[in-house]
Amino acid sequence: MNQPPFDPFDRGKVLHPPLPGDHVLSALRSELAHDLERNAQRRWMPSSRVGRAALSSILVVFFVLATAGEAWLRSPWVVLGFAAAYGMLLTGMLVAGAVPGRKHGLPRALRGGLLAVGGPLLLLSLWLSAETFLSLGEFVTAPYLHMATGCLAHSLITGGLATLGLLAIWRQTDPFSPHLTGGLLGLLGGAVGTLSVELGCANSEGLHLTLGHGMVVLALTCVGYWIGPKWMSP
Amino acid sequence: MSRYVSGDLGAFELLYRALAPRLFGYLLRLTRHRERAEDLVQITFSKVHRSRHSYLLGAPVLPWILAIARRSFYDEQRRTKVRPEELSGDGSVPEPKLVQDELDVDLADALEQALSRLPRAYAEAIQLTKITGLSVSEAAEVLGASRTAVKLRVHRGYVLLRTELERYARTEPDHPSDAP
Repeated sequence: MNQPPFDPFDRGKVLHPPLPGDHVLSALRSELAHDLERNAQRRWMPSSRVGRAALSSILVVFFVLATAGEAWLRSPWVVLGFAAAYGMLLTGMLVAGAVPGRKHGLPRALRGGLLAVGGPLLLLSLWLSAETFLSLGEFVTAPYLHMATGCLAHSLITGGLATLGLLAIWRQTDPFSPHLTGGLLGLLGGAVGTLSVELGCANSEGLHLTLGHGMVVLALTCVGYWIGPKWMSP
Repeated sequence: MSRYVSGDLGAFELLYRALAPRLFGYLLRLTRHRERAEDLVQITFSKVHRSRHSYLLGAPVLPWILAIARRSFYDEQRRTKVRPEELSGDGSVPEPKLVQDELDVDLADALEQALSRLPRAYAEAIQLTKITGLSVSEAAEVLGASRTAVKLRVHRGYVLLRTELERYARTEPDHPSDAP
């Protein structure tokens, strides 16, 4: 008869963990007491993430308004649509569980997959929506390059504001996979940047859309991925 | 944890007493140095306190704290470039001290020695699942690996441990092989 294999961890043989010294708890008590005194009055920001997301979205919308031309002022519903889109993106991320630890969050593999394909998929969709195509040699000459650079800068600022807002709101929530979560938040912020410039730019040339409107997504995904461990992990 | 997040700081001591032993045991086996492990326990709970409002209520606490501790350990290692094994004053490698009531002294020492000789990935997986008591899913979250990878590491680590502890299996009084 086959005997079960020897298990060093079976009942009665569990390694009981040692205890840290009492000085550790004493030091923590001092730190907590000091922290209480220092932070008693720090309540000027809304405590909920939804409230802070609303504040940061207003900041993004103000920037868009400040850089828009007269055409935008004649169509306020465009701006409202942009703010609504930002809110929907945020809600979608919450529901989809971009930040782990929630009871019904997305599994790590799926989040990694979203990160890997999200940016390239957006670039591809921009390319496919183009109506005209220049060769690379034509594109790198003025005024085409100048226009693309302007759109890229605008989308980087808008997307950067959105990304910073998202990172700040979800700061220190993910010690498990901070790279992934930071990258996903960068991807979402980049999408906000693309959306903002898409609403204001009528150029439908392929390289202009891909580089001027879409490159922000890849850039901010990388920034979010790199900055993730510093901001997302406690 | 919910009470602590809500502002009941008296709950912090309860949380500490419940989790510190397991956290310290984990860090002690990572660092192989008691003082550094105690420092990391303090750093971890400081971070827990500073980020308590960002804790997602309802999420399991122990994996969250262990993930913070693990990151703190690797951040410290990168900063100081200190090897995990450090010699004490007499030149020996300090072993984690165990509280032993039911445990055979020789087997406990042998088990600790065998764990310290395992590749770190296997040792961490075994420690989190068998000693700290996390599920495979929770251990996978802490280690940043898939469930399959963690199961594989535990299995391979077990094979190596059994090989090392084989003589205890033959002489262990409760083992069926010794029954008349």
